Amino acid sequence: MTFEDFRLRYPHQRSDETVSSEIHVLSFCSLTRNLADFSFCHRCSAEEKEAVQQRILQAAKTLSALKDASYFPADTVSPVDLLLFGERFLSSYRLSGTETASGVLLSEDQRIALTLNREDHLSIRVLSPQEKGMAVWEIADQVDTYLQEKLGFAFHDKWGYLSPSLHRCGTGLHMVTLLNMPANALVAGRNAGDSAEAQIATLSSGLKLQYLSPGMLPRCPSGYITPAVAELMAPRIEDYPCQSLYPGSSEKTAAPQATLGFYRVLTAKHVPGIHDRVIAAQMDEAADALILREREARKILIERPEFLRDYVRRCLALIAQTHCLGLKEGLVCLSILRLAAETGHLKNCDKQQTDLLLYAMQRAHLALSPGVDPEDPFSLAEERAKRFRTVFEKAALV
Amino acid sequence: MPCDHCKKNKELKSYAEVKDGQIYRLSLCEECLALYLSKAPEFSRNAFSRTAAPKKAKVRREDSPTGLKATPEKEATSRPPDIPETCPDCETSWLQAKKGHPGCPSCFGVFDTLLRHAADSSVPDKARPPYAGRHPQSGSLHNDLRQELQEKRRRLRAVLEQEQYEEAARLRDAITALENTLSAIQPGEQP
Repeated sequence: MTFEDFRLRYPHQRSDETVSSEIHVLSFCSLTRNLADFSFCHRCSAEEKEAVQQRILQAAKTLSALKDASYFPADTVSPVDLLLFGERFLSSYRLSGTETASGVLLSEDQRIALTLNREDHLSIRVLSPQEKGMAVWEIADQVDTYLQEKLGFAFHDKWGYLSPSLHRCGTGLHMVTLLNMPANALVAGRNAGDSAEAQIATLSSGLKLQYLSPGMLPRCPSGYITPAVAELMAPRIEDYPCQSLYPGSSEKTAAPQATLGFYRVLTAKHVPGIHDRVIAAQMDEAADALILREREARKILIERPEFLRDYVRRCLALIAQTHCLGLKEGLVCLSILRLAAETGHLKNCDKQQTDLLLYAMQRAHLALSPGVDPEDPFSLAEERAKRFRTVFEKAALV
Repeated sequence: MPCDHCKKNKELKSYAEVKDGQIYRLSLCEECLALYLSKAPEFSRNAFSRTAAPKKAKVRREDSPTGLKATPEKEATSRPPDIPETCPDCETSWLQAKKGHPGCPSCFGVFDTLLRHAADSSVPDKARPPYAGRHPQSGSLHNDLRQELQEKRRRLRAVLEQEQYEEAARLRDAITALENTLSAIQPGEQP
């Protein structure tokens, strides 16, 4: 696969049409590892990093799941194109072209991605739009076991898998499940006191329920919200570094108000003293609880459809009439229209194209279109509005 | 002077431990020190009377004989005697390790106490529980040879530091042979 192929070919989407698959957007699991024979990345010389890269690539190419994989060195890809990996949830959005011997090895189906020489020597990420946390973790575990034998990862009986960052020492696990929960948000607004966050907190202390968040706050000088009443009707267009979506950004990199749309991100990271498999099982249990919650909320919405229909009309009007569409506006519209299509309130809506908008509405994907300036927020918002109009051109309320 | 634990007059060894940013000093006989370090349950660490080293009084500028601002010695920056200055593999200093910045896997062996303290201090009132996640599979020929290779590489670095070149040459040949064997066998092959 060339980089051009990767740019144009979106990852595989859900194929079954169940309600669960509509709510459960995707899952991914990351395992971070360091090679035992080398210093950690920040202490490695350029030659050592080259050697780490060569050894990992040699070992990975012998794995059947990665035999057709393509390697994209970070220094050969433009900074905007590097964002594509983050926007498709294939690697950390901190991927940078300035690091020596850093890059992403990507399987043909874009389900397995190995990120080399970032904070750690290796990050194994397995992603699936259909499978739950445990199934995704099991695949990551198999890749990890194979590479462990070939490469020998730094491991300590007391610390677990070693990392230059002490809080990452242990299993090196990070799991994410992305859920589309608009009904829960709309219904919960009327029944305060019983939040999804509180429900998740009772299941495990290692789980967190967050929102998608845009980019990195330190690089975003202007805000997301214009408080002046006179500007209430102005388009809410985010600054250009904030026009990509990332799951589970830490508090340091995302503003508290930067909580976008009705997509919810359920995350589980390494918890000392707990086995990976237990964390994966807790993750699935929590995801099931949230899916059930969303289903219940959808039942309530179906009983009072005028509430949902009003939202759908507003979304369709916004998409049809506006010249520029902000990231947050776009995400809210996408979430509600997906719900409307699922509950039969919207006709002439292509589900596949709707799903792909989640990727296509972000900065690097928008910049794939000719004439779009990735550094100009209005140019990006204009292209986003155009793409939404194309997908929902014929959509109408039933 | 008697041993701080058994109170017998013997040849004493001095031992210092950094905890909560303070240095605790002990004067122990050889047997008691060995027991202390082995963390034997019958000799709980609390049974030893640890005393914090007295803080040096701040010297006021006007009290200083030269009239210049005197900087009191920082107690927490003195290196405990059992901890080496740097990691032999990556040359990370003990002060970096104390701040929780290891440079290579070997640092976790060399500066275990310091790193553990740094990790625990980031989670107040909560000691880090022991690792309970998955372990790399052991028992395969590939893994066993890899462990042997790592051990030989460690020894090679040590003998080079001691300028024992004959031993180093022997180890280098053994490492080359092991590397060739490793590249010829498949992962998961049983011994």
